[in-house]
Amino acid sequence: MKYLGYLWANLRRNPVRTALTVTAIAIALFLFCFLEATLSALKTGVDSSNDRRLITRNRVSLVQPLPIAFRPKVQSVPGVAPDGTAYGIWFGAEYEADKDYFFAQYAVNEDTYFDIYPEILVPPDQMAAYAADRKGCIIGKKVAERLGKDVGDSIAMKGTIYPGTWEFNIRGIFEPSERGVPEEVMYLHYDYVDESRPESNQGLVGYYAVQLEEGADPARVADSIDALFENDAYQTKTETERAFRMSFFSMWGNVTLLLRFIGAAVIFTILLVAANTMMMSVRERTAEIGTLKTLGFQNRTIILLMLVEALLIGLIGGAVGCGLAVLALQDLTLPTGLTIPPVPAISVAIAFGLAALTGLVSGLGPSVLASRLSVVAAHRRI
Amino acid sequence: MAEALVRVDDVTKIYSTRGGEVPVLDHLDLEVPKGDFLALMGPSGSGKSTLLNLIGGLDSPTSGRVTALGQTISAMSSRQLADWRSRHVGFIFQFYNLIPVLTAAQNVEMPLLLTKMSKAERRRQVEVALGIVGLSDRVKHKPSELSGGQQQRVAIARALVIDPELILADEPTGDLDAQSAKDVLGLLTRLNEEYEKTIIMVTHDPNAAQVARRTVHLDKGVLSSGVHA
Repeated sequence: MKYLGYLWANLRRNPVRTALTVTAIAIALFLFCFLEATLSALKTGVDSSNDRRLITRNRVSLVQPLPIAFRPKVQSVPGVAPDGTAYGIWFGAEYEADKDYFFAQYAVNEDTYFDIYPEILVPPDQMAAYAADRKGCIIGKKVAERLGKDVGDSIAMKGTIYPGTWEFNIRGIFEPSERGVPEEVMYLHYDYVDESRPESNQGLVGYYAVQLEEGADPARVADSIDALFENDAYQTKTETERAFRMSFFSMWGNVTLLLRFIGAAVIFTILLVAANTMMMSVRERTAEIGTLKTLGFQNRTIILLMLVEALLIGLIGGAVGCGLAVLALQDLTLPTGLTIPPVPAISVAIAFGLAALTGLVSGLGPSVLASRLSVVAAHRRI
Repeated sequence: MAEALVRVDDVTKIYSTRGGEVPVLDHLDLEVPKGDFLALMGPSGSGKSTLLNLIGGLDSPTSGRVTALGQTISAMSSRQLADWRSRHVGFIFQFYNLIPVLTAAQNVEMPLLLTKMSKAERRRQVEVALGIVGLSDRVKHKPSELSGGQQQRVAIARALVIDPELILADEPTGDLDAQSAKDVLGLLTRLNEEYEKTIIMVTHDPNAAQVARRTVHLDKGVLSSGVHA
């Protein structure tokens, strides 16, 4: 504590240089937080996945359908909860007025779907209105905000899979009950979409959602479901919801490694900048270090003072970078339509740790050099 | 004769350089009694500052022995020397060597940070030291806001604040105008006479040497004469 005045004075010795170093560290850590939040956005839904739900889809590919006639057979499998099956198809349309904005659309059966997904919170009156209107739809609050729509408005979608312009009535707006549940989603009536399809495509669904009974073994139930259709023209693949959602994420390739590599490269570059700054600072203070040694300061004290100084620069940069990231990344929607959620707390903690490490590592070399400097040599450099 | 505060016995100092070995001090003997004010004179390169560095424990002799305050400092480790300097020796430099980002009071306080004194005690000591050098009204000024003479007085206060037995001054008036030099020399005389500090001062200036009780000349690493002022 008694050295605080000296440390603070040193930080203000060259305010422009200190500010630039702090800014460089802050930008690097902001970027780190941004990349981590982006990863978190890409993984949306994975963390909130329910391991008590299974997804059954066509074994060949997700784009291949399954017959709606499978539903009673799936329902009959031991371990499946009563009324524990629901189904849906990917609708895949564009919002005509804002084609750049992407949000998922599913046509689902209304009788059990929202019971199996209780995290999709829809007010009961809105749910009743949706059930009563075949052209009705339910959209996430974020979608409503982005499109400027409210309950009672209509929404025109241009089909990319199912041709034509589709007009839907917004009957409900949902908010997820927990963070991480996908909310940029639109739910339609399966029956309405199905009837509008060519006859050859009718009666087909994209996936089944299966709610397990209490105590049922997910792996065993999944195997039982797939065994039912082993010799069918439509073979199935059943997995937990988490595994299902992870398979989407893995389609990006090793994006985690890529983003983290970028983050590490930036941090390393900033480390070199900070180390260079500290080195310059020590060179400028050679005579001063000699004076401190003459006064009786031990080498370890000089190392400690320089390390703490470098650590402070790192921590201030970290606080600014992380603070800005926490403030700025509050469900920020990028022009690509991807919504960046708040930075995970663990990422902020890691970023802060990296800031401290950057400070310490950048200060280590210069401080050891300073401590090795002989008093006489230091005075000769005045 | 008063007891010797500093004894230099048969000290040789040789610097090794790329061009070969450079002898600076050659089997030198010196005794500085307690309460003395010794002026060390000699041409450039004669070894004055080297001798001062050896006495202050900033450097080690190639051979021979340096004893100060009853301790053989030439045998101490660098850690022991740092500790010894912090408690017993005050240093004054030609270019003041103040820390530019600190105020006068903070500069004077620096040696006290190595002690276990409380903040209040340190503040009191700093006030006393700055009062002795006549800078009580400049405590919050940074070196750049002070004249050369004032900066040197702050440096003297810093040397004084730990109440050392020995003060080593290396060309303390070398960078000052005549009036400031006179003030600084007056201050050193006062420290010697009033506060009984033993002072060894390296100087080129015969006028500065005149305020000392004793003057010795060093030439080519050998003490050539000793004159009582």
